[in-house]
Amino acid sequence: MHLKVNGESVDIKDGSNIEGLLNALEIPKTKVAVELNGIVIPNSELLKTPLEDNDVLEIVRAIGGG
Amino acid sequence: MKTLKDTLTIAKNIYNSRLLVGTGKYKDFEETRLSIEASGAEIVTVAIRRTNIGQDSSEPNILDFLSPEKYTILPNTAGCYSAEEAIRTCNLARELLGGKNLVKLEVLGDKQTLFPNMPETLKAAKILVNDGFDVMVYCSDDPLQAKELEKIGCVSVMPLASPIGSGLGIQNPHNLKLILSQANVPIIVDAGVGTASDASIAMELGCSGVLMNTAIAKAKKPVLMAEAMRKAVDSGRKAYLAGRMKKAVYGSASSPEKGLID
Repeated sequence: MHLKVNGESVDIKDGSNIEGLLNALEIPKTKVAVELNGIVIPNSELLKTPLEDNDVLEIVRAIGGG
Repeated sequence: MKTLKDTLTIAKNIYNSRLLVGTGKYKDFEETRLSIEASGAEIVTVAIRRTNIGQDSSEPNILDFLSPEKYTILPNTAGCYSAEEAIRTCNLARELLGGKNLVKLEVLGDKQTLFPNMPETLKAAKILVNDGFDVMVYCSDDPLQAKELEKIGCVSVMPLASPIGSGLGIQNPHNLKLILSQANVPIIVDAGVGTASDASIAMELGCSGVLMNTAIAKAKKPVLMAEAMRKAVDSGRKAYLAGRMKKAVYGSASSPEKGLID
């Protein structure tokens, strides 16, 4: 299926969840937060949240800032 | 004589330090860590940004260097130019930091001055407070806007002293005084401090704290400046509590005039 992640096109195996996506993109599974189609996913449900074709995701982390 | 401990309370948490620091613009995480340690700060801001995809995926995370057990991590909404973007960022930050409600709201209005967009700031503050966030809010040094943000329920109101990252110091102490004279929440100077005396002046005016980033990170020796800022905030606070002497037009000798030799 086709996803848009942080503004970039990403293709991933059908039936993947967010854990599968993070693994595929080699993004650490902790200290991240994800917005799926405009809705922030609660941390407790993050990894098992299923994905569908054409989903739009924002994956964020903390960085240095003032 | 028993001296009561002078602490800062924000969203029911008690802090010994009145210096809050940012983590941007440092050379590396090690310099960040050492500077923050030297500053004595207990509240430390971070920004929320997209994770890199396909590059540097194994790079260290700032939260590995700043333990959330040791510091209160204050996620900011820096770079947001609308209430909507700021609210999205806060919602992401809350999940990122395990459900912590404390956020630093800043909605910018202009890329050159980085002055706040106050209508959007007020709009975002209302929604965030309703959603259970403890909002520390960057704002203009306008007493009416500051009061409005307090009424909305922000836990701290944080007027700029001069533009973010400018190092121009306290440009309008009178406005800060007006804000302080009517405040019932901690007023923290956020932005503009350039050197230690600026931090002291803010504290001598009666501010509850100072938040800074560039003044430390862009000093020639950041760790040394961090220590200077810790002492400046502390000195300014003590001078405020001590109550300064009255200014006079003419001189007044400190040594008695009686008993002078002929």
